[in-house]
Amino acid sequence: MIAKLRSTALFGVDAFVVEVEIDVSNGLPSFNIVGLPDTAVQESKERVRSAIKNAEYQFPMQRITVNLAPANVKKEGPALDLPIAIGILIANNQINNFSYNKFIIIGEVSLNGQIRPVNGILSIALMARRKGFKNIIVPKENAPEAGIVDGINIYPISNLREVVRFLNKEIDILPINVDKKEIMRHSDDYQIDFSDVKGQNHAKRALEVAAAGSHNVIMIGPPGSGKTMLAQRIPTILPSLSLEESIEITRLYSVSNLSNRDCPIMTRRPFRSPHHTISNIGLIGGGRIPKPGEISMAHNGVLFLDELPEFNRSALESLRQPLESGKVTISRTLRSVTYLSNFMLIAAANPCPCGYFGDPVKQCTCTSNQIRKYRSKISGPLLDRIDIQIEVPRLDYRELANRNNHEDTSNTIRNRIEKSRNIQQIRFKKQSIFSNSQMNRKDIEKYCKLSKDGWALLNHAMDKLKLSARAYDKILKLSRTIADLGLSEEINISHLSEAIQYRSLDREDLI
Amino acid sequence: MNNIGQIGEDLAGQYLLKKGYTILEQNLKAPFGEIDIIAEKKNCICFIEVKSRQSNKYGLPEEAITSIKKRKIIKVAQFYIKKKQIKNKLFRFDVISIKFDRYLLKEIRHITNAFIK
Repeated sequence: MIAKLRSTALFGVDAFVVEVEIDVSNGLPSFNIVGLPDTAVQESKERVRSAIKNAEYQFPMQRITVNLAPANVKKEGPALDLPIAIGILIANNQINNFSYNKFIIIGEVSLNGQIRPVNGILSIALMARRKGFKNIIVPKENAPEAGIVDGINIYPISNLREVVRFLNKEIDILPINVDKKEIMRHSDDYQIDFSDVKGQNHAKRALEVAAAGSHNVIMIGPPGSGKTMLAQRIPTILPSLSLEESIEITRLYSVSNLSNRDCPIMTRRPFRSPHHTISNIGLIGGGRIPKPGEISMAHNGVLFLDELPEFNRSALESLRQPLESGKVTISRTLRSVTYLSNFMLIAAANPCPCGYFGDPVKQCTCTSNQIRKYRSKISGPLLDRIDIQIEVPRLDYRELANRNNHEDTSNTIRNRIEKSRNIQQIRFKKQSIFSNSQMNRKDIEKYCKLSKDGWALLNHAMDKLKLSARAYDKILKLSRTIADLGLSEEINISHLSEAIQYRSLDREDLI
Repeated sequence: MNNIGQIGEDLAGQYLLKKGYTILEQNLKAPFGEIDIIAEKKNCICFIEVKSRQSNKYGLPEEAITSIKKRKIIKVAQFYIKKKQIKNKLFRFDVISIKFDRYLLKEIRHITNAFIK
């Protein structure tokens, strides 16, 4: 007899429906799975057989054929164990009156019949709801994450017997109920704070501007000046995550098995800091079985590239497209996968190979040729996309020890930033962009008008500091953000001059 | 050695009868292999391989069934099913392992469902 039921599998970040068909017929005992199962799915046979026996059900000594449709798409991972086991029990009448249309069943089985959690449950639940399914049976540990999705019943189970008895209507299971408001309330629970950093007010101000307009930043300074510490605290001043943004991040993490099962929604903006030896695939995503890269793990958060000149050129090159579009598409022969990757890029570098060029205390030991070569690594198309360049000098120890200076907390800074973000939201309401950094030529002409004195100052700066053409647009965008932060409709001279400060690397007479 | 094997198969046959099986065939030979015993009980036809051993020096008796042997047994089983036009029965592959101490019977083990196709 043929049993049919529905389950799911993942491709990239998205889930798709898999029809599991089981045929148990007379013939020499055998157990075969078809439908392009990968190794883990093939190994299901052993797990399913043991689980059924150990759960004290009968395993049919007949010819068992399992088909996973659609038959031309690869199925990966052990999440199909449970539906296969259930299918076998339906086929030899140990489960009765199963309604094929009612449920989606998913789970990995242990040899003793316990059900283990699977990856990507959020994507699965979202897809199931979208397709109109009303009920999903999921492993107990996955239930809190799946429970975020409204409009679908999530039944948590912990072992095979439980599922069988539930389907035979011998016991009742309550669908899980998740309090989303409670979870989002912990949304800004960062352990670190901007006020942890003493001094460095210039850098802090620059990062505030960056966060307000979603501008990318490069920090240049000697070792130990606090670049990493500052970068780590940027997520704490970014606006609070909305539920949608949270779900986007959670899906990516869930599929990569990086989410925390106890607190399944990601309520904090991610901060990713890959080492400079990372491969292109590690950074952008891909691989034989497509997986998201660091840029996607940093989606709606911060990607921190420390020691920027040490990263390999091609890796940096491949960042351009995602920086532009906020997503990355990885193509394979039959299908493409698109991962979201809308991140804020923060880069850090030393001023020279030894790290102490321009330092008031330590002597730089590099030749000017070495310095030139080093700096040239930070040039090119990537720099094009970085709006703010700041120097982060060494701190005087007196500043570190000074307890009298009042440092703004992340909360305070975030409030200012949220106000300026609101202004941008209103400004770009009818357009598809949402921050000043995304403005194109036309937008700049429309929104970044200067006074006559302003134009004069800008032109003067371009000449005197020998700024490149690249700098021009960026200065205008930055001054727009700075004016927004000051809650000013007009861009005045102080806004403009601050913006000009952030182009220190563009000076053509660099050294 | 053949002597032990013959004695073993006889002993296996008696054991099965005692357990309520009906012996359908003994030493069924086909061009590509043979099966020691084919027996039936409760609608289930069992294809049984008998292995006899004097000592465990060369492994447990049941370990002596290689994958080549398994394949041959399966082939003969399929041939038998086809020839006898058997329908509506369950099938099983068993192993009966017999341990001797000199020429005296020490132990009979009947392993049901020893392998599947």
